Amino acid sequence: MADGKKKPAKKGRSSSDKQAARSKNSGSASRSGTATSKSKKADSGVPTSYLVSALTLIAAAIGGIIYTLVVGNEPLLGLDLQGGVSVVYQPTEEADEESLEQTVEIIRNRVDGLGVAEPEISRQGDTIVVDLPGVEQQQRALELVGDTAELRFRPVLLDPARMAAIGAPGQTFEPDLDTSAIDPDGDIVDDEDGADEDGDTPTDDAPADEAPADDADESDGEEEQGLQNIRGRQDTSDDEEEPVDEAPADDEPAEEDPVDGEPTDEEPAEEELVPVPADAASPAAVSVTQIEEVCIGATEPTAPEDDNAEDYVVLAGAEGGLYCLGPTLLTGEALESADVSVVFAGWAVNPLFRPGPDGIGAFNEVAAICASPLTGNNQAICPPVGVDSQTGQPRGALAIVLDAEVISAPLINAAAFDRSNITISGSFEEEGARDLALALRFGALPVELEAQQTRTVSATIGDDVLRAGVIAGLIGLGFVAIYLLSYYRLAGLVAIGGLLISGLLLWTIIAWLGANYGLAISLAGIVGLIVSIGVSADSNIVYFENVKDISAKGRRVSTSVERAYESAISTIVKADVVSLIAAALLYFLTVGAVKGFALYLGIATILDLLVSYMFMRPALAWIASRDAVRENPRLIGMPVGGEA
Amino acid sequence: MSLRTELYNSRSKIDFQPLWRKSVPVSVTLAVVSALLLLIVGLNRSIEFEGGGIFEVPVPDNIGVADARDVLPDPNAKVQLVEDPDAGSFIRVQTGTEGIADSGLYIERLSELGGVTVDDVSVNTVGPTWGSQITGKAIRALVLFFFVVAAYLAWRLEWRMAIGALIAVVHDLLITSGIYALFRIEVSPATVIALLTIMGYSLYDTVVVYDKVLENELEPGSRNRGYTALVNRSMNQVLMRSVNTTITTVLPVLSMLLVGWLLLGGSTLRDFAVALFIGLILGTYSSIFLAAPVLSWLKERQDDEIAEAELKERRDARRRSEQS
Repeated sequence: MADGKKKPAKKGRSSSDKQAARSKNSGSASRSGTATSKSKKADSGVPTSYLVSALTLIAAAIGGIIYTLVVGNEPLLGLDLQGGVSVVYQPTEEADEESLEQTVEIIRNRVDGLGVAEPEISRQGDTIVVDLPGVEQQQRALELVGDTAELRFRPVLLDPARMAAIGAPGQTFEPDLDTSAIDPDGDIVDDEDGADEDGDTPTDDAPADEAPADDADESDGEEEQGLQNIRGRQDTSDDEEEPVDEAPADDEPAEEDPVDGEPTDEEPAEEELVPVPADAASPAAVSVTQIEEVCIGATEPTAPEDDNAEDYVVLAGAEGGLYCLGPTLLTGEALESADVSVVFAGWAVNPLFRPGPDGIGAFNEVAAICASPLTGNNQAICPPVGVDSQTGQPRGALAIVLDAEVISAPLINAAAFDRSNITISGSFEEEGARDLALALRFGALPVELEAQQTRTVSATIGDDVLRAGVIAGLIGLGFVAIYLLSYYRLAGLVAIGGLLISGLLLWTIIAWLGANYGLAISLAGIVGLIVSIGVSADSNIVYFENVKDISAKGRRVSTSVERAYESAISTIVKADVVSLIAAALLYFLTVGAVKGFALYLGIATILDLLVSYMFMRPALAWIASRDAVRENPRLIGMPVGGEA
Repeated sequence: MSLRTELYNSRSKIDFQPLWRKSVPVSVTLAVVSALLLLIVGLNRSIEFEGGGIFEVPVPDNIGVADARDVLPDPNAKVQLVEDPDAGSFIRVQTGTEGIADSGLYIERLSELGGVTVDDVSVNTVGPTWGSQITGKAIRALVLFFFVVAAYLAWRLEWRMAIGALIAVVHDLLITSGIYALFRIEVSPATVIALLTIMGYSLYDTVVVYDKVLENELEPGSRNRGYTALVNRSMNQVLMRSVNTTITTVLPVLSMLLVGWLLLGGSTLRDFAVALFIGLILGTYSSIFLAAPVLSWLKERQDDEIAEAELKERRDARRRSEQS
């Protein structure tokens, strides 16, 4: 239930009606208080104000239903009535407002891809309720919404600039398309500017001469590509040594097999490797077959169902453009945490990998490949897409992919990293850096969610329940009508008319809420409405009994109708206010089904007040003023004065 | 004049006092017994409160409980064959919270059993702590509700009536849940909603009855024959209204009970209706046979002079509001 949205919705709809009701009322009430039956009467024998008030309400009810039919609004059925999926999530640990809001937003985005007509994702306290009524592939929906999506690290085969350059349909991929391809890469340098400053990084050993030059010519075009660099944060001589010392020493030998193994199994077997061209930064070394199949001419990202971890894919970048990416080399499981830091030129992100071979070890295997893309088979896995501004070395880039979107694609500038000293630097604003850190830390969602309650209802069962509810409601209504008519005779018509009016208005409101706010009515809501039939009839009964009391004292029926109204309406208001208090408290303090029940109880109570104010007295007064009734009050169930 | 005509014209002269002398002890006893039942036996709470999983799959006629047991990962799971005259039969499997982790497996096996897709399996799983959380929330809402309503009634009516109304509500809720405890009827969220409806209705009914008392009290010389006589007269006046209201409220619920029973073997609709049926009748009963005597008793203890002074104030207030 969209808490925030609902309130204004309800008000917006009916406030004008209510206002009309109120003003009308105060007008007629004061008149009736003093000179009741003698005030100006229309030909019909009842005060004009009565007719206006009753007809306004009837017109509103009929107008509402016509509007509903014309616009085609239909009540939105809850998932217990039409089948669907409902999940209640709760964060595993305390979460602040912002991250909960963000989570709702992310889930909403994912659900949008499902094609559910009226998804409802809302926060209720610290829980997040996801209702997907009518969703057909229920199990898939559950997976998609519930899983903290996998964060994948994929090698970049073609960055957006190259994709654009070679992407024209019909064009074939030429290995030595270097000139156009390389240029963008040069850009990296300008990102690296940032890196330079951030890093107490080895300013000394950077080839200072190259960097500014490249920088100058391409800075404009590339900045939007969002290319970033990843490198060890530590300065000192280690930086250079790291790749040499650490990597081969502890990690490399062991890891080389799996990493090399995987691609070698697949790729050399079926794809020819293109010889490395003279230019280092060329993408030529990549498996041409795969690129041609998947990437060349691609103008759309790969369909979500084909976005498998082990496939070549084309995915969109967060800042636009398409990336051609290789199979997943690493997942978010290797990460322990991530943070942001302020560096000289702006913001940087510091991922922290888990210790051990599954964490930093796995990352270093990948880093070793991407950092020296020209060694051995490496170019088949992680081809060079840019150069290290400091060393001039060609480097591969690793795309960080989340929810099928490349959120960052930094160059890997070292072959081995210390797990606590990794910096992703580049053209980050604070927000971008924080988003990336969040994504790295939690996968898709800023908080870890646990499903507290999961419900799926198949469409057939839901259908049965709805039918039973509707039949029960109609039969109940029929009984009530028969009883009221037999006890109160013609006055029963007033009660039935009131029920009809609230029924029409209810339908209008429920359909309107469903169509505009995705607010569904559940079985609990229907039960609330069925019970409200009784409560609504009660308002009339309270009034009729009062009329009988007074007319039994020997008053004329038309006088009794007026006199009885004041004490009756005062009782009705008191009793209805208690119901409204219950509805409001339950609505704001509970979750799930009880909340739905409370909403419809509240709406039904307000309608009862409306009908009691605007319709009940005018209708009864009109009936009481008919000649036949005046001659024989028994027709409206009134005792005849003389009888007692 | 026959009793029927008397009732119809609200002129019955039933003396409620002897009835109250019986009804109050009976009500108190029933409420205490219910409270004891709730404490000792406890409620049979559904998985929404206890945590666990329920899986339902439609199956062809030749499939039975034993077939389902064979394919399930946990032989101890509760398996039921539910016959639905309309939609055919289906297998219903209930597991404890440990089944939640395996829900994928349950869904797969059951869909194979029924020869349907995984999306035709209805699933309802609830984490172990979730139930107590929502129960906690509901109870908090309830307590707050009692305070707010008591304040409202004390303001619009008077504090003695607020007390009487709350006693009547607690009585209705206790006895209804006591019946659930006694007959081991499962308490689901639907039941809770039904209980809340009863609560609202019971208060509503008591307000209507008390309002009549208040109205009569404001008439000049109302207390001359004692407050109890005044309440007694008021009860006679509202009796038919109470009866009629009960009938018009119970009729829809009754039809819900019947339809739920005829159309859908065991369903939410019926869960709602049983509690509502009992509770609505109790709600009317308690207004006249518990709330009214409680009010008389409280009022008879009030000093006459103070009461008269208070009444005068109220009458003046009413006159002022009429004039303005």
